[in-house]
Amino acid sequence: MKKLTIDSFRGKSVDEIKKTIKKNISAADPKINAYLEAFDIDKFEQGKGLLANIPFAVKDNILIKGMISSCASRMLADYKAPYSAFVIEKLLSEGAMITGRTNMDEFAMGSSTENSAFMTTKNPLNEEYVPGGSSGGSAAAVASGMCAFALGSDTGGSVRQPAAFCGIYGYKPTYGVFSRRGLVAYCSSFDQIGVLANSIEDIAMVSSVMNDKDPYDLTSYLDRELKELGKIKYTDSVFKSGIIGVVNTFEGIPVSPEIEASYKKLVGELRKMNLEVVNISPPFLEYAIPLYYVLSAAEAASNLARFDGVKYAFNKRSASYQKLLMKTRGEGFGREVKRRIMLGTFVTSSGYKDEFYKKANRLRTNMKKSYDALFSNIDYMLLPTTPTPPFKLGEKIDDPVAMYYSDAFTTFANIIGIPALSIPYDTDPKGLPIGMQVLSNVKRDVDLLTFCANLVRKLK
Amino acid sequence: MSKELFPVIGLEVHLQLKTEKKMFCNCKNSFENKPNINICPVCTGQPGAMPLMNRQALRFAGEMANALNCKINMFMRFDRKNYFYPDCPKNYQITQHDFPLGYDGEFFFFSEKRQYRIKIQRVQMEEDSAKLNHIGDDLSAGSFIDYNRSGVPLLEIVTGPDFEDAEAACAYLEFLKRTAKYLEISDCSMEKGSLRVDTNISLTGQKGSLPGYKVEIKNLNSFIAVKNAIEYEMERQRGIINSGNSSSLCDETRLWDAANKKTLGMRKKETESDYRYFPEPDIPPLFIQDKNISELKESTKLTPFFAMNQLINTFKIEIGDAYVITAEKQFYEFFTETSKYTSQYKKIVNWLTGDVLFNLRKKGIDLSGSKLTPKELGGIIERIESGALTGKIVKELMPELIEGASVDKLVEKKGIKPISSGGELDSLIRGILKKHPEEVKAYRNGKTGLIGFFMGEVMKGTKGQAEPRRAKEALLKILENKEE
Repeated sequence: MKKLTIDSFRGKSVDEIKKTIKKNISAADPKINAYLEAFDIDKFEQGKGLLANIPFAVKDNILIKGMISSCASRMLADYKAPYSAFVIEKLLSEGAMITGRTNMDEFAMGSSTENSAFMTTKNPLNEEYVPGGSSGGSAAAVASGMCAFALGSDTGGSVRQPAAFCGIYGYKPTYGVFSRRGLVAYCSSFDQIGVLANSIEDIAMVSSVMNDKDPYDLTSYLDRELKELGKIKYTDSVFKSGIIGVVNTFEGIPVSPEIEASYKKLVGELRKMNLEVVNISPPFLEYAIPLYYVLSAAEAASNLARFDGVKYAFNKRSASYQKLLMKTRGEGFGREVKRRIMLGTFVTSSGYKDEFYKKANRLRTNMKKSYDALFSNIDYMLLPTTPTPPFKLGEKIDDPVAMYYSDAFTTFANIIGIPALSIPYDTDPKGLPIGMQVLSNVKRDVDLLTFCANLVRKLK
Repeated sequence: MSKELFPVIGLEVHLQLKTEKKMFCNCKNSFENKPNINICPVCTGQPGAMPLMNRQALRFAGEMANALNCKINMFMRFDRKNYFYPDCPKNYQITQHDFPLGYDGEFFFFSEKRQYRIKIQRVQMEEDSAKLNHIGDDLSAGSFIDYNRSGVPLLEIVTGPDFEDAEAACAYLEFLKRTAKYLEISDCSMEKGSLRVDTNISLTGQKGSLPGYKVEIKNLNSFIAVKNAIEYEMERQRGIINSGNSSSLCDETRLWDAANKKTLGMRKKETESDYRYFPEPDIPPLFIQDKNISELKESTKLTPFFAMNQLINTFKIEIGDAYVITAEKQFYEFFTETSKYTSQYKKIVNWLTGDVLFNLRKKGIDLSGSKLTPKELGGIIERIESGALTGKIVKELMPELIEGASVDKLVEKKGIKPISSGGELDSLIRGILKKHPEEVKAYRNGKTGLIGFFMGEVMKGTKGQAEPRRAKEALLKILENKEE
């Protein structure tokens, strides 16, 4: 299994690239199940631009005009996108080639890709294990040479956690770097499109193409530095000015010994490299999971209300609107989606709204302030991406709360909107990958990518 | 004996703003043509679609809030109102719940009789729903959904519960409509649904205190319906209270049945849905700048309230006439323009509200379609005043005058001109008096009431071309001098 980078395709003809991709997909995907649909790339004509002919996979909640966008849900099994997501337009305008749409947890709700209505994706490094989620298909496709890079979405860790589980890089930018137009909304105030790839250079390249102010997404913005970022600069000066915050203990969060050992090893290496490392205690981190599930469910219940069988996609024709709603939504949504819709409806209902939704929102505001203060003293923060190494298929699917804790170190970045990058750092005794996560303050994406690329080169 | 009861009435008005585009997308704001032609992913609630912000709608809303003397929220936010209904494509409506554009306003308005003042609780922006077109009367046959209207900007204006009767409520509606039309932000047609009214009404035994229940009346399709519904509902509630059943009055929504002129129970409010409002995450809050507010406050856009005051105070026009003149902005503007050419303000009012309006209506056009200029009308009024023209002549020429003909040319062409030169008039009058010796004798014997008869004969004899004041002077002179 060969990991592919953008550079590995440079200088190759479009036909050679197609041949490689088709060969890799037919070799690996029957076992891995990364793609819900691999496109007929023979139809692709010679691309022009910065990403000419570069093959990439797309998580199935990002719209590609004329193609099905199912969100791995029965509800949208036949839904053909009437328009393309902004980021898809950007990549296509630079000549990139879409290889297919990848499997995911239904509506991006899950951490193992087992919540797909259609199939289960396996971890390419060990098929008994989950690839992580919700962007598990995208991570597995990148990790098994079925594309050069892939798009995912990260609402609470859904890019970084599968990247860590599949031994690749996963980047969730500052909220707003990538337009969300054409990303099927789960939790609008947390959702960000992210990039999964085999190198930080590739992530930087793709991000500079995708970033822009989209007039159709009021929360998007142009990051000039990122837009103009060509090649990442390799220089030791990034280490001289960067202060890294690390933790001594993972208070309130159960972390497996393998992860803890790897983390300590990395902190040791940083100290050995004479980087400025300071101990911090990330504020409210232990509240991130409950807060995340209150707020994300609240928005999800509202965002998913539009799937009613009236306008498009799945519907169960019924004699009344009430029956149409109940049957369509009852049969169209899977268990986890329904669980979160119920939860989200509950926490915003009168009588409970103050106790749950409003309280969580106040905490979110406090968290933003606290991390902003923390980042005035440090430049980067280092945490494990996940509290455990990859787990087995079926291991946590019947224990939602255990599954939710897969995101114990990732959700807070979405809650406060900061950028984060998961780096493949180590392997556990079984040879499964362990990822480490570097985070910085909002709008410091280029600093974060540059620092991490330099760090990775130093660590090698 | 039944105790005295005081009505507590509040109104909620929805105005469709006539912006070029819809509230949250770039679709054309037009929904009277073929169904489902002005639609896009945003206004049909496609997955992944996100709202834009219509700056024009924001400005229109700001202008209205300003005319209602509202405070403007410096921090303005949109919220989601969550409910399932087939005309609501996202199954939530983007509206303003916690931080509306305008709040705590005070609207000053007039009826034809008096001035009023009402508290405005809030002015909020939101999006309209799609339109359900039911197949036949039987709902089970199904419905078609037309999304052209989905996402059209709406302004909701909520008053305090301060109206004391149906008359005041209707005067408010009429003046609110005038205000929106002067600002050119809405068509305000109840018929087409661009102005919709919900009424809240209850009765209290103690003036100034709110009773423990509130009845909302929906389905009000005209101002008459509002008036009738309020009056009906007041009587209905009064009957219930007077019969000792006041405890059966509760928060409820009732429908106005215009055909049978009564309100019908629709639903009790305790079973009403919980809208689970929360901030719209796709629209960042807007921080309104001081300069935006001062721009609004300094806006020189004409309002009917200003126009009424101007007519009453500066031009000394009576309130009833002022109310007629200000019904439409172009009438008021025509008046003020005409006032530059004549100071006979009352005459301008009479001509405008009389013959000009009459002839325009007869032709089915409005003032903007008239070619009569304020300068021409001003000149005509001045010449009538000086005796160079008579009202009768101008009345007859009015159909041609509104077509743009000049009064001088008409008079010349038709050979009509007022008989005002002394000699001509005197000989005419003498001729007429000769035909009525009996009446002349009677007049000279003290039956002076006959002057009216003589005037009539003179006007008849001159085919209305005699300038009345001069004709009367001449007539009196001849009759008093006892000349034959």
